[in-house]
Amino acid sequence: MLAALKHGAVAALTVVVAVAGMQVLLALAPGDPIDLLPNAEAVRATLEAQWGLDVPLWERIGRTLIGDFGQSLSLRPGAPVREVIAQPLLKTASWWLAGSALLTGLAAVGAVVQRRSIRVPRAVLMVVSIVPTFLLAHLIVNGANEGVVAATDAGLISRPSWFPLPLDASTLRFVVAVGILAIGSASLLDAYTELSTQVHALRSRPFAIAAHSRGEPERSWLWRHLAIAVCELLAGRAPALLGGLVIVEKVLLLGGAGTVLWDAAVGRDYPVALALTAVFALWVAGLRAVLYTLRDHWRRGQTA
Amino acid sequence: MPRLTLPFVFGALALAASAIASPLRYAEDGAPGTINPLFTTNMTEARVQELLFDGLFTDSRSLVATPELVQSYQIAEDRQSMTIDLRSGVTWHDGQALSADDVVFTINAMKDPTTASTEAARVSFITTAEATGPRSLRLTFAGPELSPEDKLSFKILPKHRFSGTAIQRNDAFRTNPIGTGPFKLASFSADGSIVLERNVEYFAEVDLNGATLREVADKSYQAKLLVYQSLEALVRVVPRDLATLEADRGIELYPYQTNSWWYIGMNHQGVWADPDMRSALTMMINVDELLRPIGTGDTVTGPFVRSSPFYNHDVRKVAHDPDTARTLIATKGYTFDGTHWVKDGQPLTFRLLVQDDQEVGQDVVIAIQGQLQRYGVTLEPEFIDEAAWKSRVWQSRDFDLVLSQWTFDRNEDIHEQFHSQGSRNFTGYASETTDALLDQARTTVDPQAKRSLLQQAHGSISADQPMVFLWTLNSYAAVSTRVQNAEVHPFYFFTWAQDWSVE
Repeated sequence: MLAALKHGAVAALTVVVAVAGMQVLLALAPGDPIDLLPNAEAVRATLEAQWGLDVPLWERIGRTLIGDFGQSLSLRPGAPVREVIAQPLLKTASWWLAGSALLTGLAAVGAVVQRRSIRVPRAVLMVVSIVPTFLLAHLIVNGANEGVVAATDAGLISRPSWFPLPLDASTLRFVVAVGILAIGSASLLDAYTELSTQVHALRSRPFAIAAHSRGEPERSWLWRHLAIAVCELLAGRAPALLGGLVIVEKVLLLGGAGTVLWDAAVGRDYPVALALTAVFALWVAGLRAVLYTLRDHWRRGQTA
Repeated sequence: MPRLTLPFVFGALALAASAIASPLRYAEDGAPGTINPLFTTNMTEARVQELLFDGLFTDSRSLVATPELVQSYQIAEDRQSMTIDLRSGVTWHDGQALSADDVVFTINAMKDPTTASTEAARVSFITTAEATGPRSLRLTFAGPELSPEDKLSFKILPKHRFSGTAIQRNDAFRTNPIGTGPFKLASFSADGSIVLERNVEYFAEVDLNGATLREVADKSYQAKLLVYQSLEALVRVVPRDLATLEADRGIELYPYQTNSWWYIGMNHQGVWADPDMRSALTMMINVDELLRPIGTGDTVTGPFVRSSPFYNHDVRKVAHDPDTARTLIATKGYTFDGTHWVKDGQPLTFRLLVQDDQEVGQDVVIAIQGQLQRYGVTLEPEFIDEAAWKSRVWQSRDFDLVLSQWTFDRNEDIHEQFHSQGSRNFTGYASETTDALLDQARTTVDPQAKRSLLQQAHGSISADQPMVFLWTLNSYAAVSTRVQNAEVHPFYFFTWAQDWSVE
């Protein structure tokens, strides 16, 4: 209970620091949303009051923290921020979930099956893990598109419905996005190494050796014990996955929350940028709090 | 039987034609956040508005103001007022008839200080607008107007969609606009696409079966989409993609002349207050050498494009003359240490600000940096976003040099850029001669006099060298060969889009 409270407090503090930090960064950046208007000086006095730019920083931070996000200033002027960010957040959440699942699935399966001489090609993993995310995305997109052009020119195939990537939503676009996210941004090689070490350690533990000698199948205990390592892996990779999404969204024209955050920062749309920062911080910090609490709980159960 | 067959055949043909005709798909770097002509902030919005709305006047293909919503008009002899009769049978996209009240309302909304319209300056020459009948109105001007038609191309809004002339940016109209234009809004998605459909009630024939705007931030990807036949038009092709598109048989490049020229602006609050230092910089820059790698265009000697009637062809280009530049710098107390010009132990160094989305800006900056380095001057470039640009350049004037370009509409009014009291004169240039010429040019009602005055202003500005005048770049639109009758307006692009069609 105490540990859960501690994890919760850390999460809350993270959100406050993230929102305050973003607000300070935006305030320090030269220019504001009124500067972006052609007749900025003529309308400044009117709009400063209308847009709440005369409100002190601490008040803006406070409003954001209690969920009073206000209205968008430059991205979709006048639209409630909740409306502006809701759909993109849902999209981002779906990619993030799928990316997390793929990352842990590939890393865990790779770590478990290594004993059976089906070696995961480390060189391939290393290459795709160290190639910058945007480059990986460009390579895949251009490779797929140019491949289709060559194949259609040669009369081998007709134009596929998803062509050209990534203009329109398609299953392939989703798969590419999630794949790049899991492999590139979250560094599959590191995740695989992390879980492999855990699997190796588990197999050396007395209970595993005893179970093996009794002829019990490994699956009866391995996955249960590996859950702790997966929790730690997910908690550790959550910020990287979210950060990677900003790049993947941009390159693959996904139009998710990462893109909106980027555009809001460039357009000095303070309410949108602050709201997304708060949600992202809550997302990562909250998830880590939950996962660490679960891990502690399972660890206690195993010790008992 | 024949009576029945003929309409059936025509109907079937019409149906077949509409099934074949496709909408035009084009890309923009960013999707508009709002569509309301009162609050236009960029050209992407202006281009969509061109499809949705009409003005009282528009440009003919020879770029002369020609009536659009206007049926007939008369300018008073003293040129201080104008009466207008609107075209009959024009309806808004919701079916209501256009009236003189709509025009009066639009002007008053633009002028209303509470609205804080970005377009307010466009109607500042109008003192009163009053409806004199259901389709007739009278405009009174602040002073004699040489050619008021040129200034009456702003888009007209439907009065019945608003509760008053004090309109806020968050008015529901922003995502649900209606106009009288050849296309009406079908969908405005949060994912950055806007779909417009043909306005079948439009007062003139519309051949194009709708238009779709796609947000594609990457210019190179835009070009690829055109090659892949996923788009029909690119508004502007960047020089690096020209060769690829030119080689594609399915794509046609449309060159168009924009009223746009590049410059290196100097902050007159610092070292550039000295005319000799300005001359020295101008002589050190080899403009032809800078232009060659980035595209084709014409170098300019002053604040107009070469094709402008106001361009003074008698003004000679400042010769690239580094030796004289060195002499000028030396007379200002700088000494050359073999690598740098130094004064009071400080090397001659300047900060050059550039907007990070300035097309080919990076290439030009690197070339300028190289040229100045050759002559012992260090350039420290900074690439900044638009908000930072407005704040540091326009407000706090926190710069030594800027690389940028000015773009003008057909009026080519340089008053705000070069008059000492001009709102866009951020370099701080001030010249009594230029001020007087620009003031007279604004008030004269004689076209020949205006031309002569602005040509003299060109000469005067050029002599003062408040900036290094660089070039006007040739612009190219790229349009698929499936598009027929494509002709692009150099500023609003889609002015004649209703005559286009896609096979």
